[in-house]
Amino acid sequence: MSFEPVVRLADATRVHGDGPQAVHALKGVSLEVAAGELVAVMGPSGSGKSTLLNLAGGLDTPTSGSVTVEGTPLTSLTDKERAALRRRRVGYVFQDLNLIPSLTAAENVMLPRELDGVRAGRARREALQALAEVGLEEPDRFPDELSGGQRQRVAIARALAGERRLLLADEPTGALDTPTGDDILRLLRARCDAGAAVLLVTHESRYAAWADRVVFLRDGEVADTTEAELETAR
Amino acid sequence: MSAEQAGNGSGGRTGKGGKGERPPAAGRSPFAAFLAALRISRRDIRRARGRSALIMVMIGLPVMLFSGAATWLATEDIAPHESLAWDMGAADARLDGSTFGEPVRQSADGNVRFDEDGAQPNRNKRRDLSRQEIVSLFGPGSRAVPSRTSWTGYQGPRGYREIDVREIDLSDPITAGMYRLLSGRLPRAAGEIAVNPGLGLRPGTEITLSRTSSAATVVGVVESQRYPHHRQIVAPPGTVLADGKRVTTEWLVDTPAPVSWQKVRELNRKGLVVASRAVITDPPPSGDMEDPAPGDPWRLNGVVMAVTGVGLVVLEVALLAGPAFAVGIRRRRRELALIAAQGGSARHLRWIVLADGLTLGPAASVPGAALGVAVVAAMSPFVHRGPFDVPLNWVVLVALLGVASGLLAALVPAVQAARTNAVTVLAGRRGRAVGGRGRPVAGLALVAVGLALIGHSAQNGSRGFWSAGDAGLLAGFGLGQLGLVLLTPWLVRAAAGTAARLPLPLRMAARDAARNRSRTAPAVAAVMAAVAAFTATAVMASSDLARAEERDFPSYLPGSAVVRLFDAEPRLWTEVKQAAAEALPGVPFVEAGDLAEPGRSLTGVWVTSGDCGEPCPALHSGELGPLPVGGVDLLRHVLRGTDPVAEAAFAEGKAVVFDPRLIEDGKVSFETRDEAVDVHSLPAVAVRDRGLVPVAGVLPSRAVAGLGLEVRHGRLIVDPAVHRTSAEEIERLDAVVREVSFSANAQIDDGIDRDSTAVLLVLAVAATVLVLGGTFAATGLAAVEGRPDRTTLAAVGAPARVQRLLVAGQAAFIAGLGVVTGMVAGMVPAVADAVGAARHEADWRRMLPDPERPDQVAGFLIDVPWPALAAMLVGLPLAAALLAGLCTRTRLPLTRRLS
Repeated sequence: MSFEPVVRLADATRVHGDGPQAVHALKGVSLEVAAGELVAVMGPSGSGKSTLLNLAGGLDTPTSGSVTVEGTPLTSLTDKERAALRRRRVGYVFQDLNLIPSLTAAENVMLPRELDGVRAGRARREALQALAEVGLEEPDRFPDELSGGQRQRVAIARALAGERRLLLADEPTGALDTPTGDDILRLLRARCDAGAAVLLVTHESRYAAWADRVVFLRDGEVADTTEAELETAR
Repeated sequence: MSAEQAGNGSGGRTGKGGKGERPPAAGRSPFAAFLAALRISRRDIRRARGRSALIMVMIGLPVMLFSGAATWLATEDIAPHESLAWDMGAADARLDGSTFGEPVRQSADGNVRFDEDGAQPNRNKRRDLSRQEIVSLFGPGSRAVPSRTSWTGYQGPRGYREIDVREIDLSDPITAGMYRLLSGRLPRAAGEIAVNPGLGLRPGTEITLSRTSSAATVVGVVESQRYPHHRQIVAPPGTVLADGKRVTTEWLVDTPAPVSWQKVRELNRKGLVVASRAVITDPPPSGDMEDPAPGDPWRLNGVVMAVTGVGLVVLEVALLAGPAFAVGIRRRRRELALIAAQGGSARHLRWIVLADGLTLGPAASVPGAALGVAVVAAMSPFVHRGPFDVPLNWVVLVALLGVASGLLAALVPAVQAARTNAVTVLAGRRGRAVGGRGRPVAGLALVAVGLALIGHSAQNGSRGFWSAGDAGLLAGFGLGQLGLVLLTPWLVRAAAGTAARLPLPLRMAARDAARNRSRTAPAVAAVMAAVAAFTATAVMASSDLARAEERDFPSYLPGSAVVRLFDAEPRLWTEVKQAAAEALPGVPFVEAGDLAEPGRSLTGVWVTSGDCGEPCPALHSGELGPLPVGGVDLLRHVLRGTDPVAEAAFAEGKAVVFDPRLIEDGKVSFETRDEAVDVHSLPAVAVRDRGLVPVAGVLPSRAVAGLGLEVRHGRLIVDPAVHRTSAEEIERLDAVVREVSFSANAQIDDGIDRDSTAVLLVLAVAATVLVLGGTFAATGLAAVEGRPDRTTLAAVGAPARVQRLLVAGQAAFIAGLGVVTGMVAGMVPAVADAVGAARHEADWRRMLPDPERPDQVAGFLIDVPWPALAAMLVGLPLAAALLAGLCTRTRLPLTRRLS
């Protein structure tokens, strides 16, 4: 896979605090994820997995090094521009409590588009399409009326609604039972195959098998990278 | 996977992200994000009903009160066009029966009149106009009907009474709508009258009117539409009142054409003031009308007072509702972080919280305003006489201020929401407690400006409602409050610094409050503002009362019941005495009279003999004057006992004086000043009195005639040593003497008969509600946020008591700091007010002929109602702490790992 990556981290370092209390969450990590590629990030607690995800989506900025999303270097952007980039280019899916409880499934998916100035009607059409793509048939239910798996489907639909194709998933199956977790992984793989770039943080090696590549982090550094045996994993 | 595949996937997205890039304009709206924010806030408000209701009550209640008050005032205020039929019946115009003799200017309704220079017209040049003159002013085909009023007395079945008499032909259709016939019929001929129901006279009753000394028969009971409770006799024209100085004449004029504003101005130039139906119904535009009130000196002060007052109320509402909004934001931290992760910018997060204010503001204000109007509408038929008026402009303004309060309350939480650190919140970590130092420089500057304004108005010493001094005082207070609000975060930190030696839970509470200044400060500020307003008002009211008491110079023995009549009519005095004797049977009344020139009602009396020196009792006379006239009972009352020597001299017709220095050659001399100054002298003896009743001496009634003077009786005194008059008795006595004459009354001379307790109580209740409301909103927030700390406390074995104490300490800290700073802040305008009052009094005293009188002592006097303030200082924080501690849940859910 040699084409232009959707996201590229080059020698990215993140240090929290300074002086004797400084914590090196990430130390010079370089990583690329291309369109259609699913990269799994594994590692023990505190190894810097979430920090990596925060940097990749522009939620956080590296202390040194660079992060580029679809050709745009994030370090040169203001907070406002990074927020706009997240609305248009990046989608996050977290372990749980991904959705705004007071909005329906469709409204949750519409939200980033509406914040970006898209009219409600058009945003809703896009949301319904995105929800159909992830197989959710009840777009007007509220999150607490949906199962855990359905909620994660909504979150994935939201992460890819509009023109976004970088999906950053932080333990998306952590709060689900095994069959539902498998379903979600299958869905992520399918979205990936349809052209999305997915960076998946997980500590379950089972799910790493769905990835095109697995990156192991330890103490903020890339300890190992494995090209997965795709055919056997699936 | 190929590049093509990737390009076609997910809806064929191939665009490169760039920072200036925007999607195509089609299907976009600049309001899309804001509408989404409104949707979120609307749904969240419905989900958190309790909190939303709390905020709505905090905003809606003041809006309801103010819109109700505005409606009440508008309904109570009967506009001239609403009372046309009451004031002028069916006439085209109503005009004064006399000309000012010089050109005048008037307002559209004729109620405000000025001469050409804007001064009050000179009344001395007034001349009455005849019917012919009036008719000739309006041209052929006009008709003028007189309405004449005056005071007179009448002898009725219950004795002699005084009353307002109006001569008007009620059978003339021009008077239609002015009176309502309740029973009987309208008077038509001489000797027939109609009366107001308040007189208690039935049709068929005969009375004798003093003016004509002729009998008149009551033929009907009528009620003035304008003043239904006004006690009045209505008689046909020319039957009761003779022409004279004391008769006021108005003309109701029927004209062929409406009386235009030009016509009114033309009549003004002839010195006449006219109320025209046409002009009142359709007033000239203000540009066309000459301003009848050149330069209103009160207007600016009124505006300053109104703006400051409104500003303080909006600020207080915003400060109170602010913590409640903040609670909502804290509970939605994860939601806001999620939105940030999905690309919500700081501006979007701010919008979402402001949308809360924008939704709750109108949701509270509109029903609040409507409810205020509705409550008055429901009460109005039972209270008001005029049509029900809704001052739409004011109600809308009040509702808009409610919306503004809501937005203002949401402002600080919105700014905090915009600072949400998504990474920290999503990781489930507690963010670093934020809270700036406030804006101490801006705050100090505002406080300084406020103090300067307060000081300036105290220096001016100008006092009285709407006076410049008061406007300055209020404006200074408002600015000072604003400054203190900005200083509050700094104060919170400073106060927490002193908590190092407190027991653990209280120390934790103080530190927590200081670390989370962003939520503590608004609550402290709200408490402070409420307490400052309470303190200032309480101290001012209490000091006013103390000043009045200080100035009060009793004319009678404390506890004396006194019946007064301010009228020279001897027949009326007989009636008053009889009514008083019937009201309090068996109680001896001491009668006291004044000296008067024959035929005059009032004559000033000054003791001139002797070199009295200081202090001179002759100069310190009260209501009875220096030399009251009466019998031996009055002498005994003043002497507080019997004195054979004095009584013997008194019986011989000698004056009894209470200072030997007043006697020269065995006589006391005094001047009577009326149109001329006459000097009189009377043999006198001197005895020592006990100085309890402020008079120079007592004259025996029988000696007065020998001096060529008369006695005007006007006082009946019940000696408190003989009979203690109860409240019920004095009420009865007052009612019966007032029925005899409008100029009679009875009251107990008990010094100042005022009490500020009721005012203080109402203020205290209002302040308590505000203080507790503000404290609980913030304590609730602290309790929610402090849950992990309390879980840790529980985990290390702290008993439930410690947890309760922690929450109680948080409430006590907020209430305590707010109450203390509020009291200090409130004392400043109160002291300034006292300084102003002292200066004002000093200025006033310089104008008096006799600046040393003890009842005019000027000086700085402030009376702090310490018990009330102490109760608030100790009671409020204690109550807040107790309630908060009792309401604390000590069984906490286990803190769960989030990720």
